[in-house]
Amino acid sequence: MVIKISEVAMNKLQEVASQEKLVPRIDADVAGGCGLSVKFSIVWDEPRRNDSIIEYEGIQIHLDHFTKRYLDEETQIDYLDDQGFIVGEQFSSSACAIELD
Amino acid sequence: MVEYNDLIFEISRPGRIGSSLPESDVDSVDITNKLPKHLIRDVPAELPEVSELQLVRHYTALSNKNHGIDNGFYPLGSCTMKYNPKINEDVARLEGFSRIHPYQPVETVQGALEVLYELQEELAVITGMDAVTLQPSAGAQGEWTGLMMVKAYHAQKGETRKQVLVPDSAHGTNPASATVAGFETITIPSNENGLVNLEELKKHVGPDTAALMLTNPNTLGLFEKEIVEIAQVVHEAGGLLYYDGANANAILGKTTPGQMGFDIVHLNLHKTFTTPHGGGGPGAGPVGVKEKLIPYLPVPRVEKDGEKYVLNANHPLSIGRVKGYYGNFGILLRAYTYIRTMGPEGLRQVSESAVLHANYLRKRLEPYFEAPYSQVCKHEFVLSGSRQKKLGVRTLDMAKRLLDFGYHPPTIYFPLNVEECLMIEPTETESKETLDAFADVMIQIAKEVEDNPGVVLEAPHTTVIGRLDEVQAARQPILRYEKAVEVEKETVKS
Ligand SMILES: Cc1ncc(COP(=O)(O)O)c(C=O)c1O
Repeated sequence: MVIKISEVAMNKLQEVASQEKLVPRIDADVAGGCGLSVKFSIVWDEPRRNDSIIEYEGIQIHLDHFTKRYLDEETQIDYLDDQGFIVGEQFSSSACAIELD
Repeated sequence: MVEYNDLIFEISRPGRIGSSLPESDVDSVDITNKLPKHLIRDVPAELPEVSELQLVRHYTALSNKNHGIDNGFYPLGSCTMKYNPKINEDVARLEGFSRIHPYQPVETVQGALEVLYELQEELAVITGMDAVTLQPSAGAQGEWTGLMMVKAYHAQKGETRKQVLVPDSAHGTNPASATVAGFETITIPSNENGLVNLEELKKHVGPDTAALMLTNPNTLGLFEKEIVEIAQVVHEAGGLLYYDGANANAILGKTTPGQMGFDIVHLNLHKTFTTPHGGGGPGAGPVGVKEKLIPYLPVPRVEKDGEKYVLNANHPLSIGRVKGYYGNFGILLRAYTYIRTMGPEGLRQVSESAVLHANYLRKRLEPYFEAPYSQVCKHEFVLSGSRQKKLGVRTLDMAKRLLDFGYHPPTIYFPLNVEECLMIEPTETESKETLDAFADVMIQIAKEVEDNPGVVLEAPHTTVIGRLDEVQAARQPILRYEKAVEVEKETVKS
């Protein structure tokens, strides 16, 4: 699995991380009712047991087992001023690509 | 053991047949000069060709892999998976009902029409409404039918009200039906007790309000105690009140939507009134209305003319027909049988037991899971898997683990306003032993999350097929069988 982070997103992550006690996390949020849909987002929260951690330029991004299971083979993180962080398939060219097992 | 896991298409062999028909004694017809060209296939349909025995084994094996209320506990919140009494099936199989056709002249199907008429009357009493249509074939279709009547009602008064208000705990079909009926949906946030926030409601109610759609008890299993005031606020602004009856199992014989101030109600007969569901239908979503909305009911209506039952389509303000024929007759018949076998006292007991069972289970489980709305509930309750989430295990993982113990999981991730939601509805038809056994397993799973999370994360372990990727299935659904023969041959060679 490859996680790509755009330059804007990386800068923003570092900026927030320098002021935050909580850790950044790629998190799957599920909506149910009849059938399930999964949305991914960046949240700032506490570490969870058995998190996977991606480390890049001093930033540790957490992922739980569940989120890892549902993330696409190639996931991109971007940041837009009006929408904040967005996590999903290809948005734009990225600054870095991190491979996860 | 032979597992019979192949698809029916895969066991098909050219020319194999499961029945033998006598030679046709009429001349065959050349359809190419009878039908337009675009309706004629270029290639014959690829239908499976199997023997009768193969067919029987195939579907029996499939049915054994299925989970239904007849083979296990099914606490699927909001869906009321209660036992479907077998007497309903006996009645539905009576020849006088099973061998009639909707195109028969009404004089020859008076008994069937009498059942429909009586069912309308019974449901009107149960809901506190003045008239009922049995046509809609699901709750969602009932919602749409109701909203089309809302629209017609306002239009008749020369008004075009565009907004339908829906609380944030509502089922997704509520805003969906409003959208399909051409309304704009306004979401009303719930307050900290999980109930409609009256102040927020007041802010949004106005001259553009066509209706408020409400489920009571709501999808958190909580009774909207301020319903009388809510109704007043909406009515004073000229709007109508729509009751989503998916949770009627909690109020039967106790109160009625009519008493609460609602103008329109749908019931899900496949939930509250014991008609089989779980495979997507057939269902029935009858709609009841107060007197002022009667002119807009779908046609034809089943009416009594002296001693005769008739289908009357002569109602000029009607929104028209919403379903072929007159609804899902077999389902309506089963629901009628249930109502008549239970009687008013029986239906009251249904609600009392449903509420008691839910509270019993709630009390047993609350120490082990977060309970965002810890209070006496109605027929169902919600828990949150937020405690387990911190330990790296999600509600969906726990739901999968329940399959290992032979339970259908509760409804999960709905309502949307509860994090990692588990919505549990035990229903009145389960024994205390079943409730206890289920609680024991839930508690065991909560402990596994702490001590041995791997077993939960990789669940299910005992099912025919392991963990499925339902997200992938939703993103890239494969809805049609396509032969994989060529690919298979290649793999064999290499
Ligand atoms: C609260 C609620 N409203 C409406 C519906 C829609 O009913 P149906 O599935 O019969 O269309 C459901 C179904 O689960 C529900 O739970």
